[in-house]
Amino acid sequence: MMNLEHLFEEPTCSHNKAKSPEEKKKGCPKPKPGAAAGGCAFDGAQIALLPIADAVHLVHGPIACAGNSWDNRGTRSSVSDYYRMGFTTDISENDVIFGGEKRLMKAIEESVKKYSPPAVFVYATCVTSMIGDDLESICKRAQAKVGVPVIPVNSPGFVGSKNLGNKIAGESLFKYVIGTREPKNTEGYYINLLGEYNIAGELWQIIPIFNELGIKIRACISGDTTYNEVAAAHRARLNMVVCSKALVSLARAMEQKYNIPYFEGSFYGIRDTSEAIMNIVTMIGDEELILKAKKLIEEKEKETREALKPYIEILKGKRVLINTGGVKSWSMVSQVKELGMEVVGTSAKKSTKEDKERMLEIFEGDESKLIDDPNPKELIRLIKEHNVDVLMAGGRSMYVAMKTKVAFLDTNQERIHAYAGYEGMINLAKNLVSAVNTPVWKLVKEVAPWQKL
Amino acid sequence: MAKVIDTKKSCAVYPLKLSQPMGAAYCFLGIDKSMPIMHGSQGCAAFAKTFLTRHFRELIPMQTTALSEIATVIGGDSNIHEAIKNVIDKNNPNVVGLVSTGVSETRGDDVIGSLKRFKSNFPDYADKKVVYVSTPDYLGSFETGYEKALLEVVKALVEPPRRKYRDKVNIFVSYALTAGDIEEIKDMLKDFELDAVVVPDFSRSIGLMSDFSPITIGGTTLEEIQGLASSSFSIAIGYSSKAAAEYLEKEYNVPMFYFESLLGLKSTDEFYELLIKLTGREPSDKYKRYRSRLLDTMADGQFYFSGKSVALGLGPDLLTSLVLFLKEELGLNIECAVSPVHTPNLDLLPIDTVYIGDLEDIKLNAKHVDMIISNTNGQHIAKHFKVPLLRIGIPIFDRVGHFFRTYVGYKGTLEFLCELTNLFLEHDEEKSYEVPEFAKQMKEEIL
Repeated sequence: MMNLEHLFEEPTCSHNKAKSPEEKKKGCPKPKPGAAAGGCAFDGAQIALLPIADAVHLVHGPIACAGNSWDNRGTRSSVSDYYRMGFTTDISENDVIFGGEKRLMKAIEESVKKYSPPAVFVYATCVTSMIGDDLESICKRAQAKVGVPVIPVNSPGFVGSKNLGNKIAGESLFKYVIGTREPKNTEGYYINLLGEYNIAGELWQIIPIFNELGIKIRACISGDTTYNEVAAAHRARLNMVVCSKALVSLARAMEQKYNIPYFEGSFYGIRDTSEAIMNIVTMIGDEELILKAKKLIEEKEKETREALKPYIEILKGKRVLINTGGVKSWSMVSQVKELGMEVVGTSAKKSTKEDKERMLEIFEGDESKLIDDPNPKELIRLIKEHNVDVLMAGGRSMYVAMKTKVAFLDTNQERIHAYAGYEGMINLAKNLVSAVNTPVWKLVKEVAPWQKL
Repeated sequence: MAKVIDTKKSCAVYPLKLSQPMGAAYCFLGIDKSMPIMHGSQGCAAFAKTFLTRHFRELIPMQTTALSEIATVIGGDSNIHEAIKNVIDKNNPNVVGLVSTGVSETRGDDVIGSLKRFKSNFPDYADKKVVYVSTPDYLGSFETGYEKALLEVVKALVEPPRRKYRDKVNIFVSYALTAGDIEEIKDMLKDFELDAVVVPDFSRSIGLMSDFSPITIGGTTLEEIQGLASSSFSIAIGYSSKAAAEYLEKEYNVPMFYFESLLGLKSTDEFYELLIKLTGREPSDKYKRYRSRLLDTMADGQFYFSGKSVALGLGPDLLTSLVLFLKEELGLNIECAVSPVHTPNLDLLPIDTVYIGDLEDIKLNAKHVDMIISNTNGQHIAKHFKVPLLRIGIPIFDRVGHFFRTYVGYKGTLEFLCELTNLFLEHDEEKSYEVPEFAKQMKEEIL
């Protein structure tokens, strides 16, 4: 049995803090059979690491794990497209009976020979864990053979949810990657972003602002990043944790070992973007930089609000229901509120206590707006009850909700539109206006000719 | 109501207009065992023949009176008479379509008189059907030539009915309809237990594997055209087919119903309302499911097409049908609409302006577009704006199978919607993978 207990020791996790010692032993909540939604631990681990785009990500398992999931993420990269490939051992019945280690060894050698990556991440999956393939030792042997780091990611799906997979990924990075390489440059304001995936190029909406302030990204873990950047991530002034649930444990570990302070923030919405920038410059502590940032923020905010005016004109007072996960559940709320829209509810299922606190702050204490179980039926009920104008949703639930014939905006991780920073705010407003204004929702309610008889 | 503005340029750069005689000749290609003859110099017919051959990837029957220098100057009947006689002797078509050109019209040939003389001079040929259409190149365009030819076919060939058939319906189609459209319309009517006579029926004449034939291998037969007045009603789809149906209503009391197009939910709904009203029957479940699929896809696709801007360069019937669907049903912004010719349906469009001009006018008048919708020549404009081109209309030289695609009814609308949405999706997705310069530079510094 794998030892995962330490992963559940999370002093910064408010879920964890509230638990009794007995409950703590049980770890994060287990998926409920017959009522589970969302991905497994393997999924979570892969999501967190795939954007290390120049590495080979080799999935050791039957075809279901990689075959059904490869190239399904909205992340973007400027360095390589290995992250869009589906390296897998695709094990056979024979491997299940006699063990898959030989095949894995060959697969690592082959992939390095053909694609010469700076490193290989090898993911364990349910079946290869069950048949007892010794991931760590093969990776060690393989590394000696192929001459590049081969990193084991012990992430069989059955150990838990996607969130746990994120943590496993973080642990692999901490244990095997971070701190293994010294960067050339150490001068300047280098920071890391944790939990930013560069979905649809969102990171690229933020970087120009950083550039203006002379802030440099050492590693974005992980979005548009390279193996060597992550390996040098221990040389940074601070960590900004962008998606609070995913990699906060990595931030904590880096704080302990490398003395890198961290904070949690978001780039969705004008207010949060400005707040995040101010947090970064304040933590860096350079007075001149702080002044420069204040001035830049003021300019950007003014510019953005000006550009938003025509959209706000249309969106003002429109009712919106938000069903998305993690940090987005509150950051998107403040984002659409800045557009003058009324949020009738937001899902709180995948949110930490702190996320919830921030939501309540935005809602001025109105708990009824937090939806604990946003199942399709509940969403449909809310849409009808509150006469919702637009639903912002991610994942599979949006197609269920769509049957209610209400306008919706795709906010999931496969989307191709970027909504981060000041620029992203304008994109969001534009797309919300399109969603609200489209005549399609009127058409779909029209009665068919034969029903008029 | 749209303001129709003639751009009055002295110089067309990317011409959208096609010649009037070619449109007229095209009409005859949908009539069985027919042969269009262009009354002009050899090149008039040769260009049109080559053009249509490339567009349809098909043998195109087309002959010419081959006016020589002398014939052009002197005039007279001989070229016309000889051409008709030769075509009949060699190929024995059921219908000869004689269309005039810029050359013959500039000369001022009295073709009607000449045809009378042909009958008296050659009594053996007197019962052969020759339909004359006056289509000078310097007036109108492909679309108006087609419209005129269809009207002349009805005028010249339809005979007074001996009896009426309750379940027989005439479908007059615009030049813009494809073989796929025609098949779908026939199926929709069959579903209501109606027999449709489509005029002209391109689905039976173009794009079929067949033995060599110098004349058309199928299409609406002469007998079918002669019997059009025995139908219980006519439906005209697209402006260029309206005049023919109106004539039949006026002369032979066959009531006609007009549709701007059958693309889109609303027009298809209206089409079904009419069929339900006239027959008291209902469509079968298959068509009901297609309506439902169309609605579902509109909802699925809306965040890819909503708020997008398009520029259209199309003949008036297609332009009308697309503007109505794209603007009213999908909510797209019509950034620029250009038609080669001004027909009355354009005035009624729910956009501010329609330009009468060429594809360069899109370049000159559009500021921001996400897609160009035009024929193959639209690629020059699409390249200029770095946006995708949705190919529709004539000519389409760089695709196969375009003539078999369907753009009418719930099913055709669904197919078109998917093509449109997927083009937006593909382009947006590609764009989202574009790496900004600064991001590339950053990595170069580090690596």
